[in-house]
Amino acid sequence: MAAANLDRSSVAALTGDFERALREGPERVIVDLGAVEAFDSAGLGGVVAGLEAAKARGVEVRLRGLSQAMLDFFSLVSVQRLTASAERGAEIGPVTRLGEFVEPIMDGAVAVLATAGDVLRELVVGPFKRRFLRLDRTAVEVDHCAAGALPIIALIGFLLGLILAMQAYVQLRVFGAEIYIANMVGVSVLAEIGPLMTAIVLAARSGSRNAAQLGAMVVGEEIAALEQMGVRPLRFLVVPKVVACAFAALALSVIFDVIAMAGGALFAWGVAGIEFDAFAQQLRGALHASDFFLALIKSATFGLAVGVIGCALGLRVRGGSEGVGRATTGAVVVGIFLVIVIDAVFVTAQRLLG
Amino acid sequence: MELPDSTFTPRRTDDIVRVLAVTTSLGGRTILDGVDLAIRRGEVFVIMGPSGCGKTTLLRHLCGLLAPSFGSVTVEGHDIHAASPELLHLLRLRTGLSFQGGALLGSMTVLENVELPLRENTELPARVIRETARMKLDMVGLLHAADLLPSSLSGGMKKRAAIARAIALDPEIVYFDEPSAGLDPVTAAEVDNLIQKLNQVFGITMVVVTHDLQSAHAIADRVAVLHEGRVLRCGTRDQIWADPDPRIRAFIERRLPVEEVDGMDILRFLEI
Repeated sequence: MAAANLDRSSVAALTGDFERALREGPERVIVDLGAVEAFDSAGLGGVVAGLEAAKARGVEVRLRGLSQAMLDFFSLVSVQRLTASAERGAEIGPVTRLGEFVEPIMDGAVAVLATAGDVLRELVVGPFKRRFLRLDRTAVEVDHCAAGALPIIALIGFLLGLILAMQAYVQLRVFGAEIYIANMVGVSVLAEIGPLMTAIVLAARSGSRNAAQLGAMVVGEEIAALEQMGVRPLRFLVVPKVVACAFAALALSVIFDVIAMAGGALFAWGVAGIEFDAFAQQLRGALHASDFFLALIKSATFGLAVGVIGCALGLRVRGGSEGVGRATTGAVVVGIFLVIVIDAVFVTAQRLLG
Repeated sequence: MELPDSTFTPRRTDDIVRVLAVTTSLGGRTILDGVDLAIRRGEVFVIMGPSGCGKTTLLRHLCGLLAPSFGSVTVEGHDIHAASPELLHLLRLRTGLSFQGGALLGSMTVLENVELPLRENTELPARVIRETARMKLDMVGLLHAADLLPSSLSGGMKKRAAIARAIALDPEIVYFDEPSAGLDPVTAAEVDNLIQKLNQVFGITMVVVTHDLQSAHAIADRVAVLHEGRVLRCGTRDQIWADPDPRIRAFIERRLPVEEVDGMDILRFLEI
């Protein structure tokens, strides 16, 4: 070693030399550190990295000219321990790796189902045991989930109504059937766009909030403190949140539908010259009461799913802030995914049942 | 919901808490390995030991938050981990727990936190609940902070608020998880003082888990020393402080435990 210093700016030279020496396949490598005047942790880290690489290849290493300061430094660590991983070559089999991937997903699914069961039982059986829904707690949650989301829902609804009407207009104009804009906007908004967009906004706003809040409460031992005080977190926190989500999905989707259809009507009037009366008349003919009820049931189910997932993942948080982040992401991603899956189930059931 | 004492009949025993052969494994690691303890009514009982010896896990078993893999915890004559949900609920109302970090609900003021167990578990009128909670806050010297949110409290204030909440329902037993951890010496002494005062005035059994020697010495009637998941020794404070066992001496005299020397193996790589 020619460099007088062995520190973070010069250690690369040492590791390079080491690599070159090892590649020649010698029986032993001698490292002379006699010329080193000053060193830092990174410099000696390079030495240990070399020892580890040599050990992995079964090459013997001898160090020469270590100063007393270096020996003092090394007295604080065990080279044996540091280079132990070089021997192991711990290979994880593909089955284990698959298991490590699948197991948390299975656990999560079980937790979500268990929470859903608990919530439904509390809502159905609770009243018979004089345990009613906590209206005070639910009101706070509704205020956030529903009232808080109103502006964004109205805005998205209005814009999507305009967009759908525009898309329909481009197609229908060819046939001179502009009046059918009402049918296209009405049916697609009521059956799909309304419930889906509301559920997605809800997952992003409230599913994430529930997961983050409950997760932080787990980390701060607040959940354990509640249990200890004889307050069941399920009744005190989870059920109000889930009920609020279901209610918000229901109410918001109705508002979304109305505003989106109004947006469609506005476009039809402004661009296609269709009067509001004619648009409304056409809408009435296109939509049936059963569509409306189905849309409501669908929205409420979406809301329940989003609520349950956020709460279930939040209560499962382990391992501090990292866990809270993971639960929050999961609440949104899994929430939206599940909403789509439930939607598919609804559509299939509708087809099969005629 | 019923009042705490309306249906519960404690079986009067000298030992308010009995721990029998409690063994716990978490994630394939044995945390507790056959712990036996008897905590007497009205005493300050300190569970002491180095970090990682299983103290906090034992505390979670004692207050029924976590079931052990094997063994039993009996509180007031009832096995807390075999109890029906209703009985467990009643047993919990007779115990308070002061968490290490306070564990106050962040969305509620200090007063609301202390009111919470009263509001949820009794049917007292709101005025009575409020004044009871304010009384408890005054006992811990926090009446002036009643309307603050937990996030604006200092560490010591959080612990005192947590103690006020733990004693809200006039419990028989209060558990403390590291009451002096993270506090400056003066604040820690204040908390110790509070524990003693509540013990003397109300006769509440205090079970304190700590690694703080000074605090343990100041408050303990009896001490159990936990070491690697076992009870190394259980006795009065003075017995423990005079115990000749080298592991206890090491802990009490804050000496480094004798460790196998594995540094300096760099020498094997030196050219001689």
